[in-house]
Formats: sequence, structure tokens, C-alpha cells
Amino acid sequence: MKDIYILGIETSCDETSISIVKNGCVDVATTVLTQMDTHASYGGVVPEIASRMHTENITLVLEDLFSKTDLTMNDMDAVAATYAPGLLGSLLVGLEFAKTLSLVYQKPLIKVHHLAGHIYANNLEERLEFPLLALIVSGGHTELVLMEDDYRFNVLGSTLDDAVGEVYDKVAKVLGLPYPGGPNIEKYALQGKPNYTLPKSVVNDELNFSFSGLKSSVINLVHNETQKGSEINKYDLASSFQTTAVEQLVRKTKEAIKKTGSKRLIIAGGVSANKYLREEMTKLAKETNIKLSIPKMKYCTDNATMIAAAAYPLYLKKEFSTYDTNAKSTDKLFTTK
Amino acid sequence: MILFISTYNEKVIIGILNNNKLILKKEVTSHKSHSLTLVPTIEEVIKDARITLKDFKEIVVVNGPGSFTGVRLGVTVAKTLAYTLNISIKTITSIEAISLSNNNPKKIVIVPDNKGKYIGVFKDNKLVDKIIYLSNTEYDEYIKDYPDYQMAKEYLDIEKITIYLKNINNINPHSVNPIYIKTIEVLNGK
Repeated sequence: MKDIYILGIETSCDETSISIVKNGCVDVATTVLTQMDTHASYGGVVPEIASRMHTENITLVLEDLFSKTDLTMNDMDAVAATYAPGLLGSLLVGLEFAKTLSLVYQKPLIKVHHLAGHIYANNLEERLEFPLLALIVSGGHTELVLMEDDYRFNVLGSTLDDAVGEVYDKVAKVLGLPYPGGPNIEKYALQGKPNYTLPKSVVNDELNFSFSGLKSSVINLVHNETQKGSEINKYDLASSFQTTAVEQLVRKTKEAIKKTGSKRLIIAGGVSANKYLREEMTKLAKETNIKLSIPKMKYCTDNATMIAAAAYPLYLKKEFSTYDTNAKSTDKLFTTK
Repeated sequence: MILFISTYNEKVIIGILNNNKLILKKEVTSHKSHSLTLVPTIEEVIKDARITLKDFKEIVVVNGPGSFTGVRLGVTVAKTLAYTLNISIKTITSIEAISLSNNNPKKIVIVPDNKGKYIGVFKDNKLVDKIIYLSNTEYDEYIKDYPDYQMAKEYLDIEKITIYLKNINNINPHSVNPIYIKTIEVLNGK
């Protein structure tokens, strides 16, 4: 069979990234230009600045990408871009760029959901085998999903309140850690011990998650200690928070494995870059004798490689998009209960 | 042949010029997003003109000021076309493009948005000051200094614009960027 090359484009937040992926699983070449330093000086991503920088850099990123490979645009079989969810102005730059390349080189256009990208980042490790259980953890998601085939999502459980990544960021803010909050919690946790007692979630609502109670207890603890004039050990509190949050993820995933009898587990989303979560999930996989896949660290943050990988099954199904495709700041890949 | 692109306001305007003559023009007013109409309109005019993208030797794009997102989409598509087709690209501001399309020797060109106006004052086709952005009340004060100036009509004469640009140098497509004029609101006060 002829090899299929897909050019992927990702601009949903503060990374301008373009990648070439072969057959949905081989990263041929990737360029990621991050704007993180620019946004860090404002304490978070400024959407208008992000959009402006995407337009400034996008053709340069394309040039850099093709300097890494002998392939040319003519060798591509399709052009794929993230259309949702994300910062609307940023998504639009990548999408219009993709449409233009599609028009110039007469290649089909494929719109890709950002979250599908995080899931298919696992295809870059080893081709996904169905059925599989997916734990999706990011700033906007905390879900356990049973996938019976490509793009077939059966949601077993989701968060009843905040997403786990969101709570990481909020706790970082309460502790006064700089942007980006989540990764800094992890850094602090590494140097601390889980000496603070935080409540485990008592949601017995089957496979659903809850993180708002944990968040509130951290906030209350910080306020109470500050009022008493006693000092918070940020390292220990970060560690206590992380241990409790990950415990819930592991416990619910274990229940889902038991319930579905699934033999494969994948972790997807930005929080899958968290080393403690990776370690705990690896332990769980050993204990339950399940095959675990977690994307390499570089594919956990936003990148176009995962977008090109996620476009591959859509290419095979000929699910192409027209030039009037619009970007969306929110759009669901699947419906939660 | 030249491909002309303007997206700075609610209109997507695409023109094809051959030997200084506008041979085809499509204007689509999109109240939602230019993303729905921009690339489809380019595809349509090429089809209607029975040409291919390879027939273009130059891209002309209006690079603002105006709608941030509108300008950004037009510029992104234009620079990508110029870069991939390896042809020249030229930019013109919306204010200067409107000025070129109006014959009066002394004129005020405005591009309004929902809170104020981008303004250029022209004497003998030259900008008296640089392009500025003022709130509507500031604008009323500002134009008192120019009593004998006429208001330019917001209209683009694509032939005049592209002929004027003949004497202007090409830009490297990588360096083609929107002109925003306005500062970013969230950063004000920082």
C-alpha cells in the first residue's frame, strides 16, 4: 500500500506548529514555535497577541518544517488543521492557512478536533487497538471513554465540576506559583511531602469525577493558615494536592478497567505530561495487567504531529472538509452524560 | 495577472487584474466570519475567470487597519499564497487604498469600527499625519482642524490601487503582516 503523508497544523493556543506524519503513526518532521515566554510576562495567554504571532510566524514555521525533510508539499496527501476547541482568533489563522495550502496544492482539507489530536498522539507510540479505555485529562477535560473503533467514543464517566487541569492551575494561583501553573505544581510537589491531609473525593457516582471539593479544601487551608499567621509549606501542599488528585484518577480508572474488562488503556491530554500521574498509571497497568500507552512528553503539550495523526483515520474514511469550514472556540468531540 | 484581496471590513473583496484592467471582481458581505467566505470566493473567481492560481504573478492585499480578525485572515491567506506560489506580494493600508480611490485633493479617510474610527488626513494624496485611531468624541474634536477637507467615500478602486503599487517594492511574504494601529485592550494600563 502507498504511504500516506498528512500535513498537520495546530494553532489553537500559543503554539504555532506544523508537522508531517506518515500513515498516521510516524513523525516525519515537526516544527513547534512556542509563544510561552511572551505570554508568561502577562501571567497568561493573551488571545489577541497569540493570534497576531500565529500570522507573523506561520509561513516561517512551514519553511522550517520543509528544511527538515526531502519531502515537498506535492508529496502530501492531505492538509489537516485544528478547527476546535481553542482561542477562536488563533484557530482561524491555522485553518485559513490550511485552506490556502489545500487550494494551492489541490490536496483534501481535513478538520481535526484538538482533543482527538491528544487521543491519537498515542498512535505515534503504537497503533491503537480497539476496544480501548481512554483517560482524558486536560485543562478542559476529565473523562473516561471506551473507544470501540476510530472516532467512536462511549463516555463512561466525566467530571461533575472542574477539570483536573483546571484545578491544578487554580491551586497554583492560590499558592502564588507563576504561569504556567500546572507544571509548577508538579515541580513544587517533587520537593515536598504529602503532609497535609486533604479530603479524598467521596463521589460514589460510578465513574464520574469531582475536583471542586479538593480545590475548596486547598483554598480554605491556605486562607485559614494565612489568617492564623502561620506559614504554608508550598512544597508539601503541592505534593498533598497532587497525591490526592491523582489518587482519584487512578481509583476511577481502576474501576473502569474492572467494569469493562478492557485490556488496553491510553492516557491523553495536557495533564498526561504529569510525571507523577504517569508513574501511578504505570503501576496500575502492572497491577491490573493491562497494556498502557502514554504519549511521549513532547506529544503531550500542543503540537501538530498529533493533529496529523488524528487526521489519518478521517483521511481513510474520506471525511474531507470544505473551504467554508469555520473555527469554533468550543465544540464537543463526544457528548458527556 | 494580479490577485487583489481585501478583508479589512465586513466585506470580502477579491479581484483579478490583467494588464492593469480589473477582469473579475467578487464582493461578499459576511456578517459572521470571513472564514466562511474568503477561500471559497478566491476559488470561485479563479474558476469563473477560467484560470489557475499559477497564472498569478502578484498578490495585492489590504493589510488594515480595520477588523483585527478580518485583516488577519486576508493577510494570512495572501502571504501563504505569495510564499507557496513564489510570486510577489504588495500591501496597502485600508486608509491609503480608500484615499487612492477618491479624487479630492484634500480629504479625510475614515474606517469606522464599533467604538471609534481609524483616520487618515490627506493633502495632495499624501498623508498629513500618520494613521491614527480615535474614539468618536475625540474624532469630532480632531476634524475641527480640517474644515476645508472633504470626507472620502469608503470605496476601493482596485485598478487605481494596483497601478499605484507598480512603483512600490515587493515585500518578502514572511514579513507581510497586518497593521493594527490600535493597542490591545487588555494590555492598556499595564
